[in-house]
Amino acid sequence: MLENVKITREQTIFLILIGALGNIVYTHTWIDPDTDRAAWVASLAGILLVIPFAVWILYLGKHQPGGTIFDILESGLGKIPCAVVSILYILINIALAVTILNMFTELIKTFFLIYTPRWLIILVMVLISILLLSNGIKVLARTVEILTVIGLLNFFFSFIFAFPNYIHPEYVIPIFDTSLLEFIKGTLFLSGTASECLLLLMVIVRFIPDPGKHYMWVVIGLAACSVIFSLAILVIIAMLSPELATRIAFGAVNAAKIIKVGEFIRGLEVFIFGTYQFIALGKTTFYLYCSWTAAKKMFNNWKPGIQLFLLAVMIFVPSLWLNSYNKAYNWAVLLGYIVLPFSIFVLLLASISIMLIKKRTGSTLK
Amino acid sequence: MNTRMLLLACTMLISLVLPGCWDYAEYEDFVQIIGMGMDYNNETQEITLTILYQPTEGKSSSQPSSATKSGGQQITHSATDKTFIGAATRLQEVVHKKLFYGYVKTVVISEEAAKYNMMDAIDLFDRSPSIHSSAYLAITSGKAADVIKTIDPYQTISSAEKIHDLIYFAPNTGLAYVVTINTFKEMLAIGGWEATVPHIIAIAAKSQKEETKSSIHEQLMLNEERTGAHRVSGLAAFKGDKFVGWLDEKESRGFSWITGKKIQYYTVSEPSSVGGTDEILYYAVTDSNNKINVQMENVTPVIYVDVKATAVLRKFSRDKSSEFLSLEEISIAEQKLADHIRSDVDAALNKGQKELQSDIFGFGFAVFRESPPLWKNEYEAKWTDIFPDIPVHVTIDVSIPNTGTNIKRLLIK
Amino acid sequence: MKHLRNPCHFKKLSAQIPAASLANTKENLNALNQLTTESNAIAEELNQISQQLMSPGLGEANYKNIRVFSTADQNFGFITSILGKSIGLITGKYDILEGKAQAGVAYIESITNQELVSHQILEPLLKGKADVNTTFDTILTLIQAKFIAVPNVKTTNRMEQVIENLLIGNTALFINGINTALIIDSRKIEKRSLEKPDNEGTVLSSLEAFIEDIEINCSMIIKRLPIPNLHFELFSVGILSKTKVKLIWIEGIANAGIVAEARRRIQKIDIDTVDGIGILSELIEDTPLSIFPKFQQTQRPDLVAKALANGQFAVLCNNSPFAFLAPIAFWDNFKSMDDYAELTITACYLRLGRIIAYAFSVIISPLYLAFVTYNQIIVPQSLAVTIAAGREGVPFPSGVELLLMTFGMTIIREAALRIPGSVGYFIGTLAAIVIGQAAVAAGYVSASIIIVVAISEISSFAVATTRITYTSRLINYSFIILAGFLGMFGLICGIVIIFWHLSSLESFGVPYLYPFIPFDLEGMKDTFIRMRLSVLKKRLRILAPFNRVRIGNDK
Repeated sequence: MLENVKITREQTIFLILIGALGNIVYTHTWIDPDTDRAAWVASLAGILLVIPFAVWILYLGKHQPGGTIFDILESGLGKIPCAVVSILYILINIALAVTILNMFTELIKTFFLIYTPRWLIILVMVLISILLLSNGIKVLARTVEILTVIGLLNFFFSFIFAFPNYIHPEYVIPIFDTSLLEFIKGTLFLSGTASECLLLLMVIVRFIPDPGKHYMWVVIGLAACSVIFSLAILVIIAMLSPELATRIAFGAVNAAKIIKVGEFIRGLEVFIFGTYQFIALGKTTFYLYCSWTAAKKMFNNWKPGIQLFLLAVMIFVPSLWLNSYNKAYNWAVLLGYIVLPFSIFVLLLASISIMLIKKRTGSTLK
Repeated sequence: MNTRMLLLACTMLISLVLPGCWDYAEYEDFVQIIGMGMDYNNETQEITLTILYQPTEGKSSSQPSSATKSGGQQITHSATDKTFIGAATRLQEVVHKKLFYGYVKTVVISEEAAKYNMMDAIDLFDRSPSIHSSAYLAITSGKAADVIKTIDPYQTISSAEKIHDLIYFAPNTGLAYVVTINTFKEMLAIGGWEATVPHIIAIAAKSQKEETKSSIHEQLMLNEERTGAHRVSGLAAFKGDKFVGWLDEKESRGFSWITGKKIQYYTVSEPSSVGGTDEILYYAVTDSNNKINVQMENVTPVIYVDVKATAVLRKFSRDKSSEFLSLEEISIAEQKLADHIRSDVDAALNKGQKELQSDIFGFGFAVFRESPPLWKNEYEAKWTDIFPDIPVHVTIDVSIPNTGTNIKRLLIK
Repeated sequence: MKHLRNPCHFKKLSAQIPAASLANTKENLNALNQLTTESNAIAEELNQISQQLMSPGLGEANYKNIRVFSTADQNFGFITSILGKSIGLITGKYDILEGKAQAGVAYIESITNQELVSHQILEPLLKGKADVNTTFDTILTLIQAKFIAVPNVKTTNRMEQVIENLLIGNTALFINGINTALIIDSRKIEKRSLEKPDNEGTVLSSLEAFIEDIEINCSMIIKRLPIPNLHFELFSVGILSKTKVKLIWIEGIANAGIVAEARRRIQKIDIDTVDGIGILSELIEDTPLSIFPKFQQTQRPDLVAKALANGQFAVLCNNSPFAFLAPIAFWDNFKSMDDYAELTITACYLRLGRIIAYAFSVIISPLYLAFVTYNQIIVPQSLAVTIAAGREGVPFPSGVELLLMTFGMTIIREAALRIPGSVGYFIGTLAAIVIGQAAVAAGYVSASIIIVVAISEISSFAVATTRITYTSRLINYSFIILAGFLGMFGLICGIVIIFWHLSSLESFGVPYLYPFIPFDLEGMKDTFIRMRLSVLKKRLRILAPFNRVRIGNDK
């Protein structure tokens, strides 16, 4: 992997966008008992709340250009604390990968490939993730850019057909029917699940050229993500009514099933499924990449191919063992409460490292 | 390095998959069910499931399509069992291909099933992705099996498609509107809004009374057939998930006016006791709108319904006073139509509010939209009790923008 | 450089070891140098001798260092011994300049313009009169300056060059007594006249096409870009064929790094013959295994001129009517010269139509297969009944049927391409309509498959270059297999893999999906649509990094 590859502005924006959308596309229904109709406003606010942390990571990256957060931790605190944090980081990434693979596999098995064994589907997904990683971050960033663009276009063009027959404004207005406290609870949960992008950003920051100056890229990426995701939830609520929207397992796929255009198009769930597959593939690849980077750092680049293979097996086997959508859903909700505190903890440690480094050498590292 | 990985991936993929494709299904391996019917017998607590599909064997492009005509268009089977799934399994025993439910267009539910056993079916349809939740629902007063097996010998479409089209074009009569399984679920789930479903009747042909060709084997009835026709005649009203009563034609129209369903039909002004048919005006309604407002007066919510209708005049009375249709005459015509609509609306409100005591119009939902905390804290619990006494004020506004192709009468000289 | 002040003192080495004094060292160094030079000279002599003794491989080693002989007979004898007796060598000895000297003329009959030789070389020499006071030494310059009416004359004293030039079609003139020969340009090359391009038809643009002669091809480009910045560089590629290859770029616009890379790759070529631009391109492109074309091969000089103005470079090869354009992006396969000749909106429509047709051709038959065998729920019900009825009695499963028909179309197309004459058109039509119809009627395939395969095949031709048609066929096969095994899931996996591959391709350092990814707003104005010319102001950043402005610049 080349160390001097830099990713462009558009690639950063799309990477952050995909980074924040992960388990959230399945677990956003968790907040519906709290926020009811205002779920889309909660998601708008929730994802925007992650922006300060993302900018914090870039600010930290400014002090160690070309290095990840783990490099900062290592130079500041030493190898052992860094190793401990890395192990936690790898475990969280693997858990997130397991949950999203499971939920996506159940999506396929419920709607489309009912009798195909799940190990085949998970195997294909993991193989394609490994394939996408085999060429370096430059190609991965380009691929993710194009897939995100196509996935988003696909998603919104399919839902264009929902106008005007299936969108009911009375399901959306009035917007707020819960108390402020419950709304804030929902928003915080969504911030938690969306902070998966912080996990990705901790590793990607070394490829961003001049991170201190270009924090706007991350801001734009997260803002775009919040707008897009809240629009998606708004459309789902407007189509299905908020009461039904809280019950569904697979967000937009359920909603797309009811779109009917004349007699010819009887449900566009197959195209929305494409977007979900892009998201699942992209996220699995990124979880694998983040774990791999942390592992490579821990073991000092010893045989990276074997490490990748081991990590892939570590994702594959628990996915098979978990074997259930509902269990995966509960895990994903639990992880949603864990990721943000963990990220804040790591960032605090990194800031302390920077202060320690400054004190030690009298100047910032170059 | 990456070519190696690609090769590896491909090899693994292909070697694992070649032994068999699990979900591979050709069209000739299954039958496409397009209509379903559900009956319920409250004494024996058994469900009768009727399926309808179109056979595709023996049809190839070299044969002229006129060879398949009367009677060969659909095959209907019924099975009876304690549960829905049990009945479906029995049916699979007799049909030689796999039953494929993805193309179901219409689901007909009998009155008794709607009274006692609706949620069984709805939950099944809801959770299983193989049945498309955009299928139309219809309630029938007799048996659903009879409705499904009725076929019109001179038309080449099956009964499910016929019912589907009848409901789809119901705005032409103003009697019903499209209720899919999804819409039904929404009406069930949303508080303050009870469900209504179109009412379908099957009429047997006169000459063939009770002559049903079918083979009966235990609890299965195979290859049923009956000639006749179908008719949309109003709506069925629900309270919760239980069927409570019918809305006849006048009341259904009133319901459509109140809830702003699309109506594009021809109607007349009220026939009055004096004057003959000369006095009746013909209208063609082109548009209808509604607005439901809720205002709190003292502690009770008062519902204000504004109904707006746009119609064009098709025939007016032969009053010999003037040839030009003056503005006064037009406003009289508007008033007459408004009176007609009002009588419909009153009939509907009477039935819905006083007799059936079920909030099919969605007034509770309007209260919720007006003030969600008030609804949640106070009214939701007691709405079914206070609904029959809620005052409803309806204002009707008719506008006739043009009088057809002529603005002067035809004077016979 | 600052000298380091070292605290510890050094003693002079020569105080300890007398042999290490400076003067001694210098002496020894000189002796060493002399020895090295002498041994170099000996080595070179040994080299020459060994080469002369080596067996004649191509005959080159034999006469590499042989000088021109002083008599014409000796020269002719030597040339005949090298070239053989049957190559058509014509030799003649003449007394020229009124007997002042004897000359010998040699040329190869089939490739030399004999009229030029007789009228412009021999006639003035035979009729001419030399000055009284011309000496023997200056006679060569005199002949060159005054008597030979051909502008391109060179002198040489090595037989190797004489023979090379004879093989090109030049004439050699020997003077008895002088060890120098004159090489006079007298080539006669058979070439065809300018014709229309066969495979790149347009409606509104120029209809000239390249031919096999590299000089005429270059002339067609020069007349379209008559500026001094248009640079040519000549290479000779191929050990046997010694093909002339020219690298063309516009200095100041093209990215110098890319041109240097191209130069490096051409110089590294090591092969025996270069038949045409096809072989040359495979030897200099990146990742030759990829199915996507990473360069453009065109017959049109106007396209080459446009590409050069954009900052790309072109390679022309002798004996090949195609030019090689690089670096290109994926979207260049959909750009035709007609786009710039039509109205803006028409051009947008046509270009979008081509891209959509290409996407269709790749995806429609796997999509059909996925819908019919795995995701039946999305098919409209009336269509479902028709498809089901059509499939009754068909013995093959849908996937096999589709693969068979697609492969069959390939066979039909290849056959129709090679059947000679008017029979070719007939067979093509016959095959497509009648055989397809008969297969449906006999019950071998279902009718919907024929339609899907026909749409797929025909749309794959609706693009601007034909090389990408085969790419779409190959991708189509792989997608059909994926869709046949895993339905829509497999198809989308295939799409992801294809995009990954496209993202990893580079054409001479330019990413293949540029300017879409990485994003360049100026470039996007001429990618999926063609905006009006007054808006297309800048060149692409990677292709022309230092001279981006097209319009409003005097350069």
